[in-house]
Amino acid sequence: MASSSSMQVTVPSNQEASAYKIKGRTMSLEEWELNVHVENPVDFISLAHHGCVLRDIYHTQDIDNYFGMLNGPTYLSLVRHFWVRAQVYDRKAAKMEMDEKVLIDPKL
Amino acid sequence: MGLEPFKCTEIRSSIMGIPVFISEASISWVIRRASEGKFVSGLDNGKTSSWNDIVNKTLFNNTKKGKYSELSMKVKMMLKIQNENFLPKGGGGDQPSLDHRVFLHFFLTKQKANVPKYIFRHMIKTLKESQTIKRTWIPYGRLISEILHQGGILNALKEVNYFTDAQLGTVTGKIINGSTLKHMKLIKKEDHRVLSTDLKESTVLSNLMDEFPPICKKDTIEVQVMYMADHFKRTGQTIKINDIPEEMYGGALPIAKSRKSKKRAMTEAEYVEDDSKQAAKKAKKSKATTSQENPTASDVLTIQQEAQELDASEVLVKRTRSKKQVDNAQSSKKRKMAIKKLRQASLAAEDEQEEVLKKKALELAAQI
Repeated sequence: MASSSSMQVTVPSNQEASAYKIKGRTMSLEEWELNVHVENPVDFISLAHHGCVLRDIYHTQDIDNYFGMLNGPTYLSLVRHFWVRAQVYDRKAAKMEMDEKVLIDPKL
Repeated sequence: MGLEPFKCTEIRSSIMGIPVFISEASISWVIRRASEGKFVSGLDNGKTSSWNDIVNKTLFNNTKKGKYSELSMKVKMMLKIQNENFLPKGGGGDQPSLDHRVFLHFFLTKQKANVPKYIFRHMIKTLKESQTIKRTWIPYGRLISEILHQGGILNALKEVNYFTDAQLGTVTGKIINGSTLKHMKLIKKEDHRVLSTDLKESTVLSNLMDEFPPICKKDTIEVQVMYMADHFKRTGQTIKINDIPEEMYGGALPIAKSRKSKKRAMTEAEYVEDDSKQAAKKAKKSKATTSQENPTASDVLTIQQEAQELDASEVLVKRTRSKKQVDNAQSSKKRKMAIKKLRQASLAAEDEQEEVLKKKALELAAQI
């Protein structure tokens, strides 16, 4: 259960828990060590002019909005801040959370 | 048990104590695209997968797997876009894994792929890599920023304090366009044209500060410091000198052109001329009053005064068009001169104040 100790701290376990719980870090990396990959907006008009017509392909995927969104600000500090505190909460984590509760109070 | 029922897989984190959850649904919401379509993942890169034949047919129009150089320009470009925007790899773009090739296959054959799911799964994969093998690389910087933005995090930060783009490290991604084709050597250098319609990188930075200081590093230090002092007086909040942007948002100062001409240094001759003009005006005034009270006094005008008057009127005629304008111009000029002199006098005193203020600001900054 060594790894679950961090889970216990970070997962808001019930409704009474404060919504403003400060999360611990989930990795040993420091924020300044991380490189953020920023997506590249695509200029379909320029590409089409140079003989590379792609708009239709992405249009059928219905992701025009996504490309529109890409040309905007990226907040590197916030993204790093987010990343070092991020953890995956999936079925496994939920199960662990439940097991822990049971361990503390076997009546459940 | 007091536990929430498990709904879906999420990436949970927090910004300054505010919880932020990212799920497939939230990505789908942010990019305004339903989370539907085909999704194939976790394929073995070995040659046993049945996908190999299908993918090779689409990509290379062949039953065998070809090389990157055998791909058409369109496919190369799509691979590039995929490596930058959909499934960022952080290198090795010309050697796509089978998963990447299948994703590309969906695009090429116009089968709808589940883009939000692909993005979310990829994000989880890289997050786990960061946690387990210390991979120092974060994908989807822009997408995560947008999720934070739409989730109201930026608004929350705005209420807490002033945050500038410098503190947030705001950047905009490089645009893929004709010049990218040139760099990838997909078109000849001489074939590349810059179009007027070319997409420009977004200059609209975050609107974090409502009353963003209308100052920049291009302003003189006095203006900056005075503004900071004034701002502190008005709002009780400090602006750090480092936070003042290099340039006004949106590029050049709108008044930069007119400022230049106004700020042109006065030559000595002009300065002397201005002085004499003022003296002349004074003389004129005194002459008018005295002439009313005592008509004979005008006869006793000294030659000097006469000369001054002559000089002034001559200059005025030369410089201005109508008499009305002359009066206006002179009075406003006079006011300006007076202000200038006052300023010069107080500047020495202010210099000291500024020093103190600066020190204070720095101390405050250090405390924060």
